[in-house]
Amino acid sequence: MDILAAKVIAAGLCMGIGSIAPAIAEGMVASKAMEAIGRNPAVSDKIIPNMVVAMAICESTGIYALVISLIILFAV
Amino acid sequence: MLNIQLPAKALFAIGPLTITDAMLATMVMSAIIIVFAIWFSRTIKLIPGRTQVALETIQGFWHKQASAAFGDEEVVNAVLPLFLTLFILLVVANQFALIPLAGAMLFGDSLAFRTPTSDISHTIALAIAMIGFAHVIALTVHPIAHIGNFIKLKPLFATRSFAQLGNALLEVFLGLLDIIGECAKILSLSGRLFGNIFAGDVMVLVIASLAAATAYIVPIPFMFLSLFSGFVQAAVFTMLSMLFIAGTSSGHLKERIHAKS
Repeated sequence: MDILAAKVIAAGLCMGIGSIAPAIAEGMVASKAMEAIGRNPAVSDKIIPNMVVAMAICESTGIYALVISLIILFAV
Repeated sequence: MLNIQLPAKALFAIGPLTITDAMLATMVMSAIIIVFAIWFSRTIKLIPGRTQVALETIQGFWHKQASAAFGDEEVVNAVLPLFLTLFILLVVANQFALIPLAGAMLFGDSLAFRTPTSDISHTIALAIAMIGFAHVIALTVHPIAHIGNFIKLKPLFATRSFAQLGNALLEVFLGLLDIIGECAKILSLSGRLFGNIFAGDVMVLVIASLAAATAYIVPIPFMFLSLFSGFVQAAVFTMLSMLFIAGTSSGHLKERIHAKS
Protein backbone atom coordinates (compact mmCIF):
# COMPACT_ATOMS: atom_id res chain seq x y z
CA MET A 1 0.00 0.00 0.00
CA ASP A 2 1.08 3.53 -0.70
CA ILE A 3 2.40 5.21 2.49
CA LEU A 4 0.21 8.30 2.02
CA ALA A 5 -2.92 6.15 1.61
CA ALA A 6 -2.00 4.18 4.73
CA LYS A 7 -1.60 7.45 6.68
CA VAL A 8 -4.98 8.79 5.61
CA ILE A 9 -6.76 5.51 6.38
CA ALA A 10 -5.06 5.25 9.77
CA ALA A 11 -5.98 8.82 10.70
CA GLY A 12 -9.60 8.29 9.66
CA LEU A 13 -9.91 5.02 11.59
CA CYS A 14 -8.24 6.56 14.65
CA MET A 15 -10.67 9.45 14.71
CA GLY A 16 -13.74 7.35 13.92
CA ILE A 17 -13.17 4.64 16.52
CA GLY A 18 -11.71 7.01 19.08
CA SER A 19 -14.70 9.33 19.14
CA ILE A 20 -17.32 6.68 19.98
CA ALA A 21 -16.64 6.44 23.71
CA PRO A 22 -16.29 10.18 24.44
CA ALA A 23 -19.57 10.83 22.61
CA ILE A 24 -21.39 8.30 24.80
CA ALA A 25 -19.72 9.71 27.92
CA GLU A 26 -20.69 13.28 27.09
CA GLY A 27 -24.24 12.20 26.39
CA MET A 28 -24.40 10.55 29.81
CA VAL A 29 -23.08 13.67 31.54
CA ALA A 30 -25.57 15.88 29.71
CA SER A 31 -28.52 13.59 30.39
CA LYS A 32 -27.76 13.35 34.11
CA ALA A 33 -27.32 17.13 34.32
CA MET A 34 -30.63 17.69 32.52
CA GLU A 35 -32.31 15.25 34.91
CA ALA A 36 -30.91 17.14 37.89
CA ILE A 37 -32.02 20.48 36.48
CA GLY A 38 -35.48 19.08 35.77
CA ARG A 39 -35.76 17.90 39.34
CA ASN A 40 -34.56 21.18 40.83
CA PRO A 41 -34.40 24.07 38.33
CA ALA A 42 -33.20 26.51 41.00
CA VAL A 43 -29.68 25.02 41.10
CA SER A 44 -29.13 25.08 37.31
CA ASP A 45 -26.60 27.92 37.72
CA LYS A 46 -24.42 25.64 39.80
CA ILE A 47 -24.90 22.55 37.65
CA ILE A 48 -24.14 24.02 34.22
CA PRO A 49 -20.46 25.05 34.89
CA ASN A 50 -19.74 21.72 36.55
CA MET A 51 -21.37 19.95 33.60
CA VAL A 52 -19.19 21.83 31.11
CA VAL A 53 -16.01 20.97 33.01
CA ALA A 54 -17.00 17.32 33.36
CA MET A 55 -17.78 17.20 29.63
CA ALA A 56 -14.39 18.68 28.79
CA ILE A 57 -12.71 15.97 30.83
CA CYS A 58 -14.82 13.22 29.22
CA GLU A 59 -13.92 14.71 25.87
CA SER A 60 -10.21 14.30 26.52
CA THR A 61 -9.96 10.71 25.25
CA GLY A 62 -11.46 11.91 21.99
CA ILE A 63 -8.93 14.73 21.95
CA TYR A 64 -6.10 12.23 22.42
CA ALA A 65 -7.36 10.34 19.38
CA LEU A 66 -7.42 13.65 17.52
CA VAL A 67 -3.85 14.46 18.54
CA ILE A 68 -2.71 11.01 17.41
CA SER A 69 -4.43 11.33 14.06
CA LEU A 70 -3.00 14.85 13.56
CA ILE A 71 0.47 13.49 14.33
CA ILE A 72 -0.10 10.65 11.84
CA LEU A 73 -1.25 13.10 9.18
CA PHE A 74 1.17 15.99 9.56
CA ALA A 75 4.20 14.98 11.60
CA VAL A 76 5.16 11.38 10.73
CA MET B 1 -2.99 19.83 0.70
CA LEU B 2 -3.42 22.72 3.13
CA ASN B 3 -0.38 24.27 4.74
CA ILE B 4 -0.86 22.75 8.22
CA GLN B 5 2.18 21.86 10.27
CA LEU B 6 2.41 20.45 13.76
CA PRO B 7 5.78 21.81 14.96
CA ALA B 8 6.12 25.59 15.24
CA LYS B 9 8.08 27.26 12.47
CA ALA B 10 11.53 28.62 13.34
CA LEU B 11 11.85 32.30 12.41
CA PHE B 12 15.31 33.40 13.53
CA ALA B 13 17.94 32.56 16.12
CA ILE B 14 19.55 34.51 18.95
CA GLY B 15 22.76 32.59 19.58
CA PRO B 16 21.80 28.98 20.41
CA LEU B 17 18.15 29.94 21.07
CA THR B 18 15.79 29.42 18.14
CA ILE B 19 12.80 31.75 18.15
CA THR B 20 9.65 30.19 16.67
CA ASP B 21 6.43 31.93 15.67
CA ALA B 22 4.65 30.54 18.75
CA MET B 23 7.36 31.95 21.02
CA LEU B 24 7.09 35.35 19.35
CA ALA B 25 3.33 35.29 19.89
CA THR B 26 3.83 34.31 23.54
CA MET B 27 6.19 37.24 24.09
CA VAL B 28 3.83 39.74 22.47
CA MET B 29 0.95 38.32 24.50
CA SER B 30 2.90 38.48 27.76
CA ALA B 31 3.77 42.10 27.02
CA ILE B 32 0.08 42.89 26.44
CA ILE B 33 -0.91 41.20 29.72
CA ILE B 34 1.87 42.89 31.74
CA VAL B 35 1.07 46.36 30.37
CA PHE B 36 -2.62 45.80 31.03
CA ALA B 37 -1.90 44.57 34.57
CA ILE B 38 0.30 47.58 35.41
CA TRP B 39 -2.24 50.01 33.94
CA PHE B 40 -5.11 48.29 35.69
CA SER B 41 -3.46 48.04 39.11
CA ARG B 42 -3.28 51.86 39.17
CA THR B 43 -6.98 52.32 38.46
CA ILE B 44 -8.31 49.99 41.18
CA LYS B 45 -11.01 51.79 43.15
CA LEU B 46 -13.14 51.02 46.19
CA ILE B 47 -16.25 51.42 44.05
CA PRO B 48 -15.43 49.12 41.11
CA GLY B 49 -15.92 49.92 37.47
CA ARG B 50 -17.05 47.37 34.88
CA THR B 51 -13.66 45.82 34.17
CA GLN B 52 -12.91 45.57 37.86
CA VAL B 53 -16.21 43.81 38.53
CA ALA B 54 -15.50 41.30 35.76
CA LEU B 55 -11.99 40.58 37.03
CA GLU B 56 -13.16 40.35 40.63
CA THR B 57 -15.80 37.82 39.56
CA ILE B 58 -13.06 35.67 38.02
CA GLN B 59 -10.93 36.04 41.15
CA GLY B 60 -13.89 35.10 43.35
CA PHE B 61 -14.62 32.01 41.27
CA TRP B 62 -11.04 30.73 41.54
CA HIS B 63 -10.88 31.62 45.22
CA LYS B 64 -13.93 29.43 45.81
CA GLN B 65 -12.42 26.55 43.81
CA ALA B 66 -9.08 26.86 45.62
CA SER B 67 -10.80 26.91 49.01
CA ALA B 68 -12.59 23.71 48.09
CA ALA B 69 -9.32 22.10 46.95
CA PHE B 70 -6.86 23.28 49.64
CA GLY B 71 -9.16 24.00 52.60
CA ASP B 72 -6.73 26.23 54.50
CA GLU B 73 -7.23 30.00 53.99
CA GLU B 74 -3.53 30.97 54.26
CA VAL B 75 -2.51 28.30 51.74
CA VAL B 76 -5.24 29.51 49.37
CA ASN B 77 -3.98 33.10 49.59
CA ALA B 78 -0.42 31.93 48.94
CA VAL B 79 -1.11 29.80 45.85
CA LEU B 80 -4.02 31.68 44.27
CA PRO B 81 -1.79 34.13 42.29
CA LEU B 82 -0.17 31.15 40.53
CA PHE B 83 -3.50 29.76 39.33
CA LEU B 84 -4.94 33.16 38.41
CA THR B 85 -1.81 33.93 36.35
CA LEU B 86 -2.11 30.56 34.64
CA PHE B 87 -5.79 31.13 33.88
CA ILE B 88 -5.32 34.67 32.50
CA LEU B 89 -2.35 33.51 30.40
CA LEU B 90 -4.32 30.59 28.94
CA VAL B 91 -7.46 32.63 28.26
CA VAL B 92 -5.49 35.24 26.33
CA ALA B 93 -3.31 32.64 24.60
CA ASN B 94 -6.28 30.55 23.44
CA GLN B 95 -8.01 33.60 21.95
CA PHE B 96 -4.85 34.92 20.29
CA ALA B 97 -6.28 34.29 16.82
CA LEU B 98 -9.05 36.80 17.52
CA ILE B 99 -6.63 39.75 17.83
CA PRO B 100 -7.16 41.73 14.61
CA LEU B 101 -4.36 41.44 12.02
CA ALA B 102 -2.26 39.20 14.28
CA GLY B 103 -2.92 36.24 11.98
CA ALA B 104 -1.84 38.15 8.87
CA MET B 105 1.47 39.75 9.91
CA LEU B 106 4.51 38.52 8.05
CA PHE B 107 8.05 38.00 9.26
CA GLY B 108 10.29 37.73 6.23
CA ASP B 109 8.12 35.57 3.97
CA SER B 110 6.32 33.48 6.60
CA LEU B 111 3.58 34.28 9.11
CA ALA B 112 4.95 35.95 12.22
CA PHE B 113 2.45 34.68 14.79
CA ARG B 114 0.68 31.46 15.65
CA THR B 115 -1.72 30.71 18.51
CA PRO B 116 0.76 30.01 21.34
CA THR B 117 -1.12 27.03 22.81
CA SER B 118 -1.39 25.34 19.39
CA ASP B 119 2.32 24.51 19.79
CA ILE B 120 2.73 21.39 21.93
CA SER B 121 6.01 22.66 23.42
CA HIS B 122 4.12 25.45 25.15
CA THR B 123 1.48 23.21 26.74
CA ILE B 124 4.05 20.59 27.78
CA ALA B 125 6.15 23.31 29.42
CA LEU B 126 3.14 24.57 31.38
CA ALA B 127 2.15 21.06 32.46
CA ILE B 128 5.71 20.21 33.59
CA ALA B 129 5.83 23.48 35.53
CA MET B 130 2.60 22.66 37.34
CA ILE B 131 3.33 19.01 38.18
CA GLY B 132 6.95 19.90 38.98
CA PHE B 133 5.77 22.62 41.39
CA ALA B 134 3.77 20.05 43.35
CA HIS B 135 6.71 17.64 43.60
CA VAL B 136 9.31 20.28 44.42
CA ILE B 137 7.17 21.60 47.29
CA ALA B 138 6.65 18.07 48.59
CA LEU B 139 10.36 17.26 48.26
CA THR B 140 11.55 20.38 50.07
CA VAL B 141 9.28 19.74 53.06
CA HIS B 142 9.46 15.95 53.50
CA PRO B 143 11.96 14.54 50.95
CA ILE B 144 12.24 11.00 52.34
CA ALA B 145 8.52 10.58 52.97
CA HIS B 146 7.65 11.86 49.49
CA ILE B 147 10.09 9.51 47.74
CA GLY B 148 8.70 6.76 49.96
CA ASN B 149 5.28 7.32 48.41
CA PHE B 150 6.65 6.10 45.09
CA ILE B 151 9.36 3.60 46.05
CA LYS B 152 7.57 1.68 48.78
CA LEU B 153 10.25 -0.31 50.60
CA LYS B 154 8.66 0.07 54.03
CA PRO B 155 6.17 -2.86 53.79
CA LEU B 156 8.96 -5.00 52.35
CA PHE B 157 10.98 -4.69 55.57
CA ALA B 158 7.92 -5.30 57.75
CA THR B 159 7.09 -8.71 56.24
CA ARG B 160 6.78 -11.67 58.59
CA SER B 161 5.31 -14.38 56.32
CA PHE B 162 5.00 -15.36 52.66
CA ALA B 163 1.45 -14.00 52.40
CA GLN B 164 2.68 -10.61 53.61
CA LEU B 165 5.61 -10.79 51.19
CA GLY B 166 3.16 -11.06 48.28
CA ASN B 167 1.27 -8.00 49.49
CA ALA B 168 4.53 -6.08 49.97
CA LEU B 169 5.70 -6.88 46.44
CA LEU B 170 2.32 -5.71 45.14
CA GLU B 171 2.80 -2.44 47.04
CA VAL B 172 6.22 -1.93 45.46
CA PHE B 173 4.77 -2.57 42.02
CA LEU B 174 1.88 -0.13 42.61
CA GLY B 175 4.38 2.52 43.74
CA LEU B 176 6.29 2.13 40.48
CA LEU B 177 3.00 2.43 38.58
CA ASP B 178 2.41 5.75 40.38
CA ILE B 179 5.61 7.11 38.81
CA ILE B 180 4.23 6.27 35.36
CA GLY B 181 0.96 7.87 36.45
CA GLU B 182 2.73 11.16 37.22
CA CYS B 183 4.26 11.19 33.73
CA ALA B 184 0.84 10.39 32.24
CA LYS B 185 -0.60 13.41 34.09
CA ILE B 186 1.82 15.70 32.25
CA LEU B 187 0.98 14.05 28.94
CA SER B 188 -2.79 14.20 29.46
CA LEU B 189 -2.81 17.81 30.71
CA SER B 190 -0.73 19.08 27.80
CA GLY B 191 -2.33 16.89 25.14
CA ARG B 192 -5.85 17.98 26.08
CA LEU B 193 -5.13 21.70 25.78
CA PHE B 194 -2.99 21.36 22.66
CA GLY B 195 -5.49 19.11 20.87
CA ASN B 196 -8.44 21.39 21.47
CA ILE B 197 -6.74 24.60 20.38
CA PHE B 198 -4.93 23.12 17.39
CA ALA B 199 -8.09 21.35 16.24
CA GLY B 200 -10.01 24.63 16.48
CA ASP B 201 -7.44 26.37 14.27
CA VAL B 202 -7.36 23.51 11.75
CA MET B 203 -11.17 23.33 11.64
CA VAL B 204 -11.53 27.04 10.85
CA LEU B 205 -8.77 26.80 8.24
CA VAL B 206 -10.35 23.76 6.55
CA ILE B 207 -13.82 25.31 6.46
CA ALA B 208 -12.46 28.60 5.12
CA SER B 209 -10.56 26.91 2.31
CA LEU B 210 -13.29 24.44 1.23
CA ALA B 211 -14.63 26.71 -1.52
CA ALA B 212 -14.71 30.38 -2.43
CA ALA B 213 -18.24 30.65 -1.04
CA THR B 214 -17.25 29.42 2.44
CA ALA B 215 -14.32 31.79 2.94
CA TYR B 216 -16.05 34.67 4.74
CA ILE B 217 -19.33 34.15 6.64
CA VAL B 218 -19.44 30.36 7.02
CA PRO B 219 -16.43 29.92 9.42
CA ILE B 220 -17.98 32.22 12.06
CA PRO B 221 -19.97 29.50 13.94
CA PHE B 222 -16.86 27.32 13.99
CA MET B 223 -14.79 30.24 15.29
CA PHE B 224 -17.37 30.67 18.04
CA LEU B 225 -17.07 26.97 18.87
CA SER B 226 -13.28 27.19 19.15
CA LEU B 227 -13.61 30.38 21.23
CA PHE B 228 -15.91 28.58 23.65
CA SER B 229 -13.65 25.52 23.87
CA GLY B 230 -10.69 27.85 24.44
CA PHE B 231 -12.36 29.31 27.53
CA VAL B 232 -13.43 25.88 28.79
CA GLN B 233 -9.99 24.35 28.27
CA ALA B 234 -8.29 27.24 30.07
CA ALA B 235 -10.59 26.63 33.04
CA VAL B 236 -10.10 22.85 32.87
CA PHE B 237 -6.31 23.10 32.70
CA THR B 238 -6.22 25.44 35.70
CA MET B 239 -8.68 23.37 37.70
CA LEU B 240 -6.94 20.05 37.02
CA SER B 241 -3.50 21.42 37.86
CA MET B 242 -4.99 22.85 41.06
CA LEU B 243 -6.41 19.43 41.96
CA PHE B 244 -3.10 17.67 41.17
CA ILE B 245 -1.14 20.15 43.29
CA ALA B 246 -3.68 19.88 46.12
CA GLY B 247 -3.58 16.08 45.93
CA THR B 248 0.22 15.85 45.97
CA SER B 249 1.32 18.65 48.28
CA SER B 250 -1.62 20.26 50.09
CA GLY B 251 -0.36 19.17 53.51
CA HIS B 252 3.23 20.12 52.65
CA LEU B 253 2.19 23.63 51.60
CA LYS B 254 0.28 24.05 54.84
CA GLU B 255 3.28 23.00 56.95
CA ARG B 256 5.65 25.23 55.00
CA ILE B 257 3.46 28.34 55.27
CA HIS B 258 2.63 27.84 58.94
CA ALA B 259 6.31 27.24 59.75
CA LYS B 260 7.21 30.60 58.16
CA SER B 261 4.57 32.68 59.90
